[in-house]
Amino acid sequence: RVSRSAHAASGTREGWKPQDNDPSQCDYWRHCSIDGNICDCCGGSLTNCPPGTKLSPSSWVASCYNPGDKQSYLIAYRDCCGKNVCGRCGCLNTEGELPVYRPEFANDIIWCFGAEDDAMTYHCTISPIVGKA
Amino acid sequence: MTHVHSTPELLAKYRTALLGGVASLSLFVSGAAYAQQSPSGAEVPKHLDEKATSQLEDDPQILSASTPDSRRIYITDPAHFAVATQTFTIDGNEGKVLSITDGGFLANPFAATDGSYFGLASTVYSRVSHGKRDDYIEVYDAKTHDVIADIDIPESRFLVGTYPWMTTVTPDNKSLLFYQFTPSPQVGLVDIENKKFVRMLDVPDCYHIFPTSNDTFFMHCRNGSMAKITFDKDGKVDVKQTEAFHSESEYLINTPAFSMKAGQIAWPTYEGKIFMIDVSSGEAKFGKHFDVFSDEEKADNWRTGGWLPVAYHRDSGQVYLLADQRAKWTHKYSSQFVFVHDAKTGKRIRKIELGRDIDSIAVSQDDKPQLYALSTGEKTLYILDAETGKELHKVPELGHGPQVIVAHDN
Repeated sequence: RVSRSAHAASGTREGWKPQDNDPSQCDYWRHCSIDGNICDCCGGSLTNCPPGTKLSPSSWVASCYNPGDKQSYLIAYRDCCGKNVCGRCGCLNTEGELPVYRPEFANDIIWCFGAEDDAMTYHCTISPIVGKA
Repeated sequence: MTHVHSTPELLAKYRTALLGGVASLSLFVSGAAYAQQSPSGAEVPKHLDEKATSQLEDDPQILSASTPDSRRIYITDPAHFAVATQTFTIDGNEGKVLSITDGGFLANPFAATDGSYFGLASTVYSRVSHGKRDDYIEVYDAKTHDVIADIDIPESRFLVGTYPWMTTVTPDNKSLLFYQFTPSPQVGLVDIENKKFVRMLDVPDCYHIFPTSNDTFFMHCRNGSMAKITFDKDGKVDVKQTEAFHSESEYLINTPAFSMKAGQIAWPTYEGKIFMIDVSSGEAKFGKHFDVFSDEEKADNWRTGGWLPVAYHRDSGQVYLLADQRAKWTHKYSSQFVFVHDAKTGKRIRKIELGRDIDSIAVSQDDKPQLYALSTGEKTLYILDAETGKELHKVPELGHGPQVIVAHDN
């Protein structure tokens, strides 16, 4: 939903070219299937939610290639919920992203299920590692 | 009032008389019992200077939109997940915005098949983005845009990037069906005619809602089958699933085209194979599918891409696919080309070069169809001649990230 021309940092038709230097950029390797906003730009960090939001215990996943150690890792994209959309560092990547009938790999869904206070509004997304893919 | 005697003195007299009348009327209505009520925040301030309530030479009215025809469309702007959204009513003939309707978080638009109304399934919170959640269905008159039904539903809407066929009316326009994902797949039944929520219907692990009659709809299931769901208002649900019609590695996009009037679903894969699902008989038939791209084009990386990348023109049976040369796994990024194929033969009829990045397309259902090409990045709708691709109109400034096009005459 974040189009190329609106957010120059988002992916392009040319395909995914990951880097391992700057987690606040859309092409950081762990963001290979992120959809929304990078929490690092919203008061959170690569793996932590910003103050005042609620961390979701559920997530979609993707296997992302780390160019630093040439290994692939499973990333669990967890949403930070309960605030209006952050609006900073908008980013849409879709490596291995599957349609909604395969929801564990589908990134259009608001993955706030299970967050405290039933928070279901989308603020931003973190990119923690589950393990090696 | 007449404009002939519009001297300042005369106007002042009129105004004094009018304001006096209004004041005494409101006193009469409110009465002593309400004297202690707190201010509403909407009263005309008592300390306003005369200029603020001047009589006018012009005679301002609230307009009504034109009667919808096959070129009436609704553009929804999910605003990149913002808690408030907008839906723009547009007349394709003139390329003109007729009205704007407010929605909450990820509001899902729908429209009556006869154009008489449109609406939104919506979600708001008591404190902007948190607090108490409230899901509801709001239905609007297609001309006045007044609210004609406001129906409370359980807080169960599936909050997801907007897929048109997750919320839809039935063919008689009397009911509405909406999808629930958690805690388990269900479909909500709403009685629009009597303005009330009826019940949730249990369904298998299936997605999307394609009504074929007033008590029957089809869904697409995780195992690659279609499910036929028949229901009654007491909650009795009958489910019949077909065999799988596509393989596990053929990924069917989230936003197929569905003509309810023709009973045809045009469903592309990431790689540009189009499954035509014929539900016109009341059963799902999978006889026809075709590849939009030749082997040579596939080798040159032509693939489907966009948000609503497919449209179906009912009378001609033509399928429009938004596509471009792209790497694998870039299926949600915009495209610069539209391929038009005959759904019956699968043959290519033409290819339209858009010359810009487009995210969503739709076609009008008249004999000389318009092609609607929406750019999320530019926030602009381009209205093109569907035959030649020539630009007829351009409608800019459509919110923050417009993505969805809904027509009633589908």
